[in-house]
Amino acid sequence: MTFKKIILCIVSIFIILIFFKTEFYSEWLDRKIYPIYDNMDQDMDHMDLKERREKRFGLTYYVAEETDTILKMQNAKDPIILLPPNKYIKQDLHFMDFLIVEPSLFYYYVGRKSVWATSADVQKANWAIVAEKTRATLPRYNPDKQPIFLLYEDKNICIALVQITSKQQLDMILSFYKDFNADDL
Amino acid sequence: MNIAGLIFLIVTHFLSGRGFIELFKLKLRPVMMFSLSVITGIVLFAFIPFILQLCHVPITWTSLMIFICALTIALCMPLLMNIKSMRFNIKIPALYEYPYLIIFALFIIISCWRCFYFPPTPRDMLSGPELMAEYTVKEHSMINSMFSLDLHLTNNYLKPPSITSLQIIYKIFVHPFGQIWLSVFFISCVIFLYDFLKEKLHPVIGGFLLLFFITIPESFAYTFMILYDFNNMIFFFLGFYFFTRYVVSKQLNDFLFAGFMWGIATYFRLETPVLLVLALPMVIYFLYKEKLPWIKIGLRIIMLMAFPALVYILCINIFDKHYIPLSFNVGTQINSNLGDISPYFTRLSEMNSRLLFDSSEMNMSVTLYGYFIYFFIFILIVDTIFFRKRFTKESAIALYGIATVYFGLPLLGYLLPWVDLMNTTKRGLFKLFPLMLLYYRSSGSLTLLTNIINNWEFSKPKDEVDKRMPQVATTQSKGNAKKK
Repeated sequence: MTFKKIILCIVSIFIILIFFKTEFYSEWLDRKIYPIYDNMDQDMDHMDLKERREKRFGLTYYVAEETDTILKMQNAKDPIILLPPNKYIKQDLHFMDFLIVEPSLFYYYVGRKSVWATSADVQKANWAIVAEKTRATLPRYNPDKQPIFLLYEDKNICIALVQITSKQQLDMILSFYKDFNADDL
Repeated sequence: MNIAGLIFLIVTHFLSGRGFIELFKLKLRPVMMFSLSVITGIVLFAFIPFILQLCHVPITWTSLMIFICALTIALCMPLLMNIKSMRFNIKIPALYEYPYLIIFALFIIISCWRCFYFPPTPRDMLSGPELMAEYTVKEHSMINSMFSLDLHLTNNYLKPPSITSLQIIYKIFVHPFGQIWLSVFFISCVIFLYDFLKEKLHPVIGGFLLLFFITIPESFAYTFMILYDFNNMIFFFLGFYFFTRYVVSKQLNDFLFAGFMWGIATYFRLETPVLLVLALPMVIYFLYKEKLPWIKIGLRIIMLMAFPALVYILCINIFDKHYIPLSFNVGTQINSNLGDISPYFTRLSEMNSRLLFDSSEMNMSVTLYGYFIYFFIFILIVDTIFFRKRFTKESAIALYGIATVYFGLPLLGYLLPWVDLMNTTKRGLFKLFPLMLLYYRSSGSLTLLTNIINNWEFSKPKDEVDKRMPQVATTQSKGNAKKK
């Protein structure tokens, strides 16, 4: 009886090996499953919740976190942040790694209220996240010479936070976005 | 992570679920009973924050703790009264089951790790249920500051509050990301399905089928990413499973539990009743075959559909309409040109050509679902050609369930234009897979193979064969022999 069980055990192992040797499942293991195992050790060294969120949500979350830190440092009262349209980042700046999230997700990330250029209450915006190819062109968002807070910079993009101090400034920023549909996720 | 909180929840899931099942007096194998108890406990808890919200009770650690303890104690009462009749004789798996069990464990570890390590990801969650859960924990109400945001690009806050409720409980008791309930659910499902297959098939075959099921790439991803479809798939299938039990046993309790399971499936996807309506002819057919009077058949149908209807009304007509502070009209979501049925056939055709049987270079059908569907078709063809006489009521119900999903999903796309192909339909097709497992259990070819293996495995030297053979003639008789 035990002998037969051993034979059936060998059959089970054989079935499993053949199954995972088929081209599709072998590739699936290589691409999707083994990397999770391989990264486990590395993941265990980064157990902080913030780090894990950053890993998951990427640059978008990092920018939201930096925005929150700056607003706290500036003691900003009831800040409402104007977010740039995704199409502007992708079509005008040709930058694909930064996804502007919708206001609900921004609120989920850091608990800060934000609006898009198409939002009904866009006129309430008193801060803006802005993006340019280089740091040199950032001052165009800030004619009143308020400080510009750098959130992220690399060779392809420069993302910053500016305070909106007047309706003219807000209208000017919105005019930059008028050719891009903010509702595009 | 709060381990004590997790243990507390798992124990209370089991006790409340087991007590709830006891109310239905269901007779199940011990392993199936254990795993189904945890699954049932999880879904019972998925109503707690929702009910607290409906009653305008603040959702806090204290209120949840009181409600969980009260529910568990209340549901334990029937269990305690029948404690003497409870048996815990769980068999140790045979040697040849261990290779499969090890592989299942490895996949479970991966799934649990991903579920624990990363925060919820799908945009549908983050812009609705997860956001609602996050701010419920902070503000003690599901109607919270998220509704002061610009939500014009999403209606995800209207999704049923099942996952929101589970997220709230697990965020408060276990981990800030919540989500670990999905791992508890997934592990329970694997245990249940393995024992469910073993009930009629040899473990070598059952293990292989479950391995095939777990490694469906697209559905495996949803064992660690919270969304509604994985849970909906399991409860939709459990409804069919308990209906097959009813058809065989004629026990009304099995019938009512099927209705409960379909109600829970509705609690995870509110369009499920459309598929249930398509399943009704099958239900009516079997009730008619029982020679029940038409009034009784009508009453049974009402009993079966009462819970799904109640869940739907609670979610849409009460919660979304009277609690959510943003206006919403279900009527606007329905196709306004129902006279034109061409979208139905277009969707059916697209579902076949782009999802189920994609022959393009991308081969979406294999990329998404592996070879699971092709294997099912192969077994079905073999059964149809060689084993037609072995078709049972269970296989007929499973095939009807598969047809319901196959023809029902395009119908949903036709009725509700927001049910798109590459998201909702793609994930809706998950419902096919456990129904295919239900079919395999009674497949002529696989049960014959099971009998052959059993006969060989349990055969003795010649002088002992006569004593042994009656016990191993079929899986069923083997089970009976053990009971004796």
